[in-house]
Amino acid sequence: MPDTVKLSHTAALILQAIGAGDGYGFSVMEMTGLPSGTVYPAMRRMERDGLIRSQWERQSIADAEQRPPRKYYKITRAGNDALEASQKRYPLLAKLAAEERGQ
Amino acid sequence: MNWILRLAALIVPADKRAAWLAEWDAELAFVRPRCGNVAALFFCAGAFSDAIWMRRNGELSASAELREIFQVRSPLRCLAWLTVLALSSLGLALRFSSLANAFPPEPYRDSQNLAMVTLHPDGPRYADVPLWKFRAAESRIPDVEEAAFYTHVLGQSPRKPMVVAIASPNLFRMLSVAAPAQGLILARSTWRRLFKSDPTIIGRKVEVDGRYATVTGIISDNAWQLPAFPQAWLLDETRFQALPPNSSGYVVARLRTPAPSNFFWTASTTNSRAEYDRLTFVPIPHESVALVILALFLPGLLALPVLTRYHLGAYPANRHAPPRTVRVRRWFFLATKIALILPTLLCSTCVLGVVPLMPGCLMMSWLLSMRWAWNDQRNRCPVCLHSLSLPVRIGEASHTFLEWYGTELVCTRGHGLLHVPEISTSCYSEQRWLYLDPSWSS
Repeated sequence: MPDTVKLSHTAALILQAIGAGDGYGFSVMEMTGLPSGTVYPAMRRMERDGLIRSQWERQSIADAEQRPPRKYYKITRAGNDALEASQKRYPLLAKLAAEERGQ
Repeated sequence: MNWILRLAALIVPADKRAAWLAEWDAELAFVRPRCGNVAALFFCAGAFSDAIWMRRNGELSASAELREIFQVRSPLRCLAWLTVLALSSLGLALRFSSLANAFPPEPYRDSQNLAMVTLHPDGPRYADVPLWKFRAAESRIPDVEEAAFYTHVLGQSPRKPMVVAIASPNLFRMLSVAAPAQGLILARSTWRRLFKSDPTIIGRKVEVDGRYATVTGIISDNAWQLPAFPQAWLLDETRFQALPPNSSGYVVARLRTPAPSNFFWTASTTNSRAEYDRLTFVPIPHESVALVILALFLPGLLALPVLTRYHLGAYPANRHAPPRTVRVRRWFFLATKIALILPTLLCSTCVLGVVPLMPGCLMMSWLLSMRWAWNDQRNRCPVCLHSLSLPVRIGEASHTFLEWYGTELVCTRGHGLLHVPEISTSCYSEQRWLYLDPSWSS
């Protein structure tokens, strides 16, 4: 097996969004423009493959904002490696993410 | 709108349902005030895809762990599993069922020279020749080199009565069946069922029609391809001569010249009472097993488009396309899969004991297996033959007229990407493979 997982463009885009700090499912949707039916299963796959990891928000933070606690995702070292490899393949990936964040 | 999420949650494995629902509830609480109810509705609709993914791939679910064990992503592992299946079903078939009986027997060595002889060809059976007529005409039937007679009587096995054919001693010799020249000969199935596979059966006395006969051998059930399957045969000149002259029985004849296939023909002879007898010759079927199997599987292969398409997808060559040998290997892989599926199906059908329904069962399971083989082939990388992974849904239905939408899969070894359109359009009618440059494989 190769060391790094090869990602499709869509998967790389989602990983890029999570790597950029948009760690919630809906924020990834907003950044990538992909529907929830694509984003959430893709994040589950990446978590299963060790590219990202999830963590529940602390209850105290959610209580302070009067909403349920959310689950957020962070990119792992393996995910970073895969993302770097993907960015070499998709040069517009980083630019696209930057543009989205600029809006 | 939370009811949609609760409905979708029913699909999620129970051990993960609460956490899954909590995550979607939290997200919905954020989406609704920010984007409105319509967007929230579309958001919730996506929960079903996620829930289905969780059902299929839940880390803690036993089925997922089992699937991981039986994963056939690697082509070698796939072939290894198919080989194991073929060998184990063959072993089971040999152990628990009379595998050989499930298939049409190979014809007699010179079956084109053999024919049944009957006086009433329109009758339901051929057992209509009285013994006295057979004796009178035995050596005088035109174009007949030799003839044999057999009739049924009852014998007594340890468990229940059995049907025994008392035959003229030349019967098996004429049919070129390897069997003792005289004595009581059992069919293998009779020996198994009625005599519980008794290893000391040879030499044992068995009652046949009120007198004892000695068991001298066992023959395969397939050795008998003539009408009326008896459970044993008694070849004994004395007993044969002692049969009442009026006993009706079957007559099989060996002809001097090969019989025309599938045609009845007649000949006349006079009997000992100076009467004319009109004898009808009925040829014995002599189709080969290979032809019968071919007749069974070829229509199945032709009917495959009912379940799936023959086309394996578009693989447009680019400068990164692999050499011809690699592409040939892909077809060899498909052929090997099919070659291993065939014995598995034949043997497992026998093991399941559905021999009377065999043609229908075989045809259906053959069709389903071919569908699997074709679909599996479509979902493999044409270069390394590993199953593709990381499927991601792309686009929406509204993209249909602008670009394709559907699923994208990737070869984890970096050989290419597979685009599978959700619906066929004039631009994307088939799934399409994109070969990637070798740096992906590094």
